Amino acid sequence: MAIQKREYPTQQAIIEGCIKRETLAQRSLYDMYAPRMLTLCMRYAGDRERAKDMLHDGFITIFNKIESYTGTGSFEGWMRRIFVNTALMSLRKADVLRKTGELDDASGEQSLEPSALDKISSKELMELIASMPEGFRVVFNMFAIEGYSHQEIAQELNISESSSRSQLSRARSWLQERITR
Amino acid sequence: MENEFDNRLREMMESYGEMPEASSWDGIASSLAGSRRRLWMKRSFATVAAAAAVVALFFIAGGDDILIKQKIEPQITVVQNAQEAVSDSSEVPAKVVTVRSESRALHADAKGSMSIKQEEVTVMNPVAVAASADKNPESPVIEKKIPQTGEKSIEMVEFEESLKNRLGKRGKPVLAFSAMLSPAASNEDINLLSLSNANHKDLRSSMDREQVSFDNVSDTRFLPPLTIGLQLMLPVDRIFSLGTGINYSLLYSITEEHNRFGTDRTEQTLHYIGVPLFLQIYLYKTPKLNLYANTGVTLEKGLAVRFKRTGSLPSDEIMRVSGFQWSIGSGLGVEYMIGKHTGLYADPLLTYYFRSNQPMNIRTAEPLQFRMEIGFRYRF
Repeated sequence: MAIQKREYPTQQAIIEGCIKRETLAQRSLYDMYAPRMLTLCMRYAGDRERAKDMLHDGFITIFNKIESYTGTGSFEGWMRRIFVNTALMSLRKADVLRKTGELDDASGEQSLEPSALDKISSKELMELIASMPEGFRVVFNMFAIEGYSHQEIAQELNISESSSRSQLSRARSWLQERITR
Repeated sequence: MENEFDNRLREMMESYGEMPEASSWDGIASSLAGSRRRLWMKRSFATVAAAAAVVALFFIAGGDDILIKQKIEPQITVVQNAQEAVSDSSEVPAKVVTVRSESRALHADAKGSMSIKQEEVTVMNPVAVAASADKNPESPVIEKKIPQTGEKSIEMVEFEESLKNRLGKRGKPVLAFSAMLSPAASNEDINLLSLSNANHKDLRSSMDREQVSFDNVSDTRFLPPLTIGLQLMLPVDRIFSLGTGINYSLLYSITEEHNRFGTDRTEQTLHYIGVPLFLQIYLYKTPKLNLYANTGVTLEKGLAVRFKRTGSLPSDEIMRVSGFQWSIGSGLGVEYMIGKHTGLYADPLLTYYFRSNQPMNIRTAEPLQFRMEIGFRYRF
């Protein structure tokens, strides 16, 4: 829209507007990132209702803490980090993460062909990940998509690194089985 | 192999967006508005509390005696040789002595000007007037008084005089002409509300663009409200003044609605007339500078609202405004005297506008406002 182009021509202008607590800038930021952040939340939450709550809480945190974005690194990366933390907090409250620690039975590494992903669409893949058992869904998301290390995952989830590895392995086999079915 | 798989997976997930429901933003916007309101309330409470603390400290410390000093310094020469005076007292009967005292303290009346006041205090001399008065008739000398039953000490007399001056003497009325702006809105237009589904296609990824349907965007901007007024202040005593007056406010806003048919623009002009009632408390007074706190309430009545629309359905109509707008406010102020009777002042104020079914304006959108009142005061 012309009005948006005039006032917030760039992402930097939107961020500056958000720092000034301008509602239009906040709305612009929301419109830019809400779809991708909702996808992120759905991957962690497993259901849309809980994901919507995470989206709400995540954006409130973003708007309240936007001054703390220093400009180093991508803004989207910063936002993703906040949304992952928000999601983890929400899952912790719902006692979902306890199940992550319970699955401590390691199994062998799975080798997955990247070409396997050509068979499904992004939407199907997202739904598949969201439907993963809670026990290893979080670890898979954090490691495979967000790029956390096992050490970071272990710290965030208060589990051992070996647990993180074994849950990732389980997640991979679970996913491979569903994709190749 | 695993890395390649993860990279591909990441690419697919990062580029994919699930559209949230339209109500999702409404929830966020309402939470943000709530937290903004809470923040304002906290800040205003802190400001009021700080002002109250300053005023309280001022009074606890006897501020009115310190800052608006009514100091009586009687010129009394104490007898050098008390024994001599006492010995002579047997020969001199008790008599009434009039002592001239001169106070050079600041008489901060309503004009803020300084004056020198002479007082005459009559005291009983119970013991004696120094016989040395005969020796030096040019300077009447008395002994520092020893109070007896039914008599008043000099300190008591001073205190009573001070109290009389403080409570009994009012300053003169003050007439003020004021203009008021809300600086929060003065730098640039406030974008307070954005309604409907915004559609910032230029800012979206190509994948998002496909998923977003065109919808309306409306944008309301409020210009800084302007208030001008005439006030009359009547000092209650040297510290407190009560004020009232009449003021006129002009509120202006522009709403632009962009839709698939073009842009509709509505200009809204609101006219209010109001009567304030406020209390002003002087915290510090000098002949040139006054600092004070003030608090009060204002009742405003909307006179008319004009809607001027351009776009697909142009129109121009004027409607009456029903109901009243109440507001309360408080703040600190400073006044600089540019002449004997005239002072320029600036009062930063926090004002809260109560919701009362008024047409949409900056006060209904942001009930708590920071305002700056400037003007000049004339003392009769």
